[in-house]
Amino acid sequence: MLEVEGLTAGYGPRQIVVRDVSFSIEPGVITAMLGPNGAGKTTTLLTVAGELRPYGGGIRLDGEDVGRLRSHQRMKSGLVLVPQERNLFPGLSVDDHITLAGHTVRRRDGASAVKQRIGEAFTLFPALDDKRHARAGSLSGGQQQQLAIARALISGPQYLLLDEPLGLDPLTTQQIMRSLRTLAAAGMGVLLVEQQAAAALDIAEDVLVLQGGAIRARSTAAELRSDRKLLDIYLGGA
Amino acid sequence: MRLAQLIVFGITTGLIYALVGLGWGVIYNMTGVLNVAQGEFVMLGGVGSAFFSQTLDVSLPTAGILALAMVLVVALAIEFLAIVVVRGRSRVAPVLMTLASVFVISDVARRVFGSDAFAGAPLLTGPPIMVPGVDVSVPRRVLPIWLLAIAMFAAYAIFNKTRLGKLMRAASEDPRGARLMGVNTAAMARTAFLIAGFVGAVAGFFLLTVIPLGFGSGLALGVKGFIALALAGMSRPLGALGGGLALGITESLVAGYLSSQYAEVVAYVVLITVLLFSPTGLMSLRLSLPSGRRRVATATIPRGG
Repeated sequence: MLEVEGLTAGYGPRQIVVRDVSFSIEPGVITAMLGPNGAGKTTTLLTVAGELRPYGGGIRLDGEDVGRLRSHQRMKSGLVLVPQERNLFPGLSVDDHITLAGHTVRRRDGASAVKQRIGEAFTLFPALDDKRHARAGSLSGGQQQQLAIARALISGPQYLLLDEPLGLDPLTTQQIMRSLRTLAAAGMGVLLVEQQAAAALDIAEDVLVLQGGAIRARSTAAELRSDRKLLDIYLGGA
Repeated sequence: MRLAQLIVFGITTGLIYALVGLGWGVIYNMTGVLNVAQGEFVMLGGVGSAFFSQTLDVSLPTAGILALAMVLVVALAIEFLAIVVVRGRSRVAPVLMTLASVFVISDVARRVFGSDAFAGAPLLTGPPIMVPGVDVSVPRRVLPIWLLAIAMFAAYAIFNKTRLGKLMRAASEDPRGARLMGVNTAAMARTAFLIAGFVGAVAGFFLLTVIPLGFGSGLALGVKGFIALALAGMSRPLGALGGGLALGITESLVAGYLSSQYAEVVAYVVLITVLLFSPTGLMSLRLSLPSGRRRVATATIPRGG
């Protein structure tokens, strides 16, 4: 289980964005973190991933404190981020991204495990299989998003942390949602930060609602969908 | 025969420029930062060796090891200031930090080592070697530099063709993207400065046996190394070998046929010429693929379906 307790984070002591945020993410469950712009969703996600240093609170993965680990160490311990910017290398091919990601964990996990994950990633995103030699810079936005997720899967994450992966064309969004369901069914925990509240409520089982840097509600997606008042207050009637 | 002799001299100095250029290239390609203090590594390696040898009364090789240790500490200090402390704040701050380091190092070196230039005895001596009619004794005196250069460039060539090398260049282009692939970018930056410090210190140690070195020698050597690398392209450290040799030979020919007074200015004329005719290509970042194809990286990836 991924546990976040009393997390306080931001971009400097005078720019604290989230205060005393606590939640937990179960393995095999897709959890959506929703809320208006500036609520602190991405800040929370980046802090959990190790991209930002917290000013307070703790992050535990299966009981172990991972809050002091750097981002690349957190990635290797099982927490993998797919940022909104994707951070792909435009000049490198799809194959390059996948094999280089495998290269950094090959010693830890063994070549056969990495090879198997590479095969699974291309099965999950068949559009990438047809574009193995294409440069990332030449891919469509949807294909780039799939590549960013596929790259993240090569290290064998326990928890996938995604920042706004669904704001794409409907077909690609459906493809990504199907893939996330498959991953969750296989036992992977997914934390999804998303502006597209309707799409997120379609795919998520649990929902965290953030506003003003604090968690205002936690419920199942079904409960939230039926609570018009909460939807109107925090999610603009999604 | 005079032409051949001048070329032999030029190759020797060009090789030294190439080694300094390799140091620039390693840091630039692994961190994306231009380390203006690269020449100071050379100066400290050479002057430190002579100083420790004289003041501690130890052999030159022992003093060279002490100087190497000193350079590695300085390299780590510059990496801490330029990469860890200021890189995230602005694009130019790391370069300015390394530039400031040049003047601090130079001033501290003047106070510690003194204002006089140091010279070391040749490591390999013997009667002149004539091939045929051309004295190649000078390059023999710097034979260790030749061997070092060959070893370093061979290592860099292998490094450049591997996945690890590709990850390192990716880390310089987008550190966050590299971290997302599990790369420890902080350790990579430290490694880059340690390699550049090692190359600089060893080059300085051997250079001391060829020409006198003083506290102010670093900046000029650093600039020559930068020009050697820039001639080939900043993202091609191996090209520094060709750039350094071209620069060294040109300087030698100008000194031999015109005047040694002009030799110093030749490097800058060459740099200005290259900047005039290749203003964008000079600093363009290229990612080399194992197949040998080269691909120019674009700045950003557009978002959208």
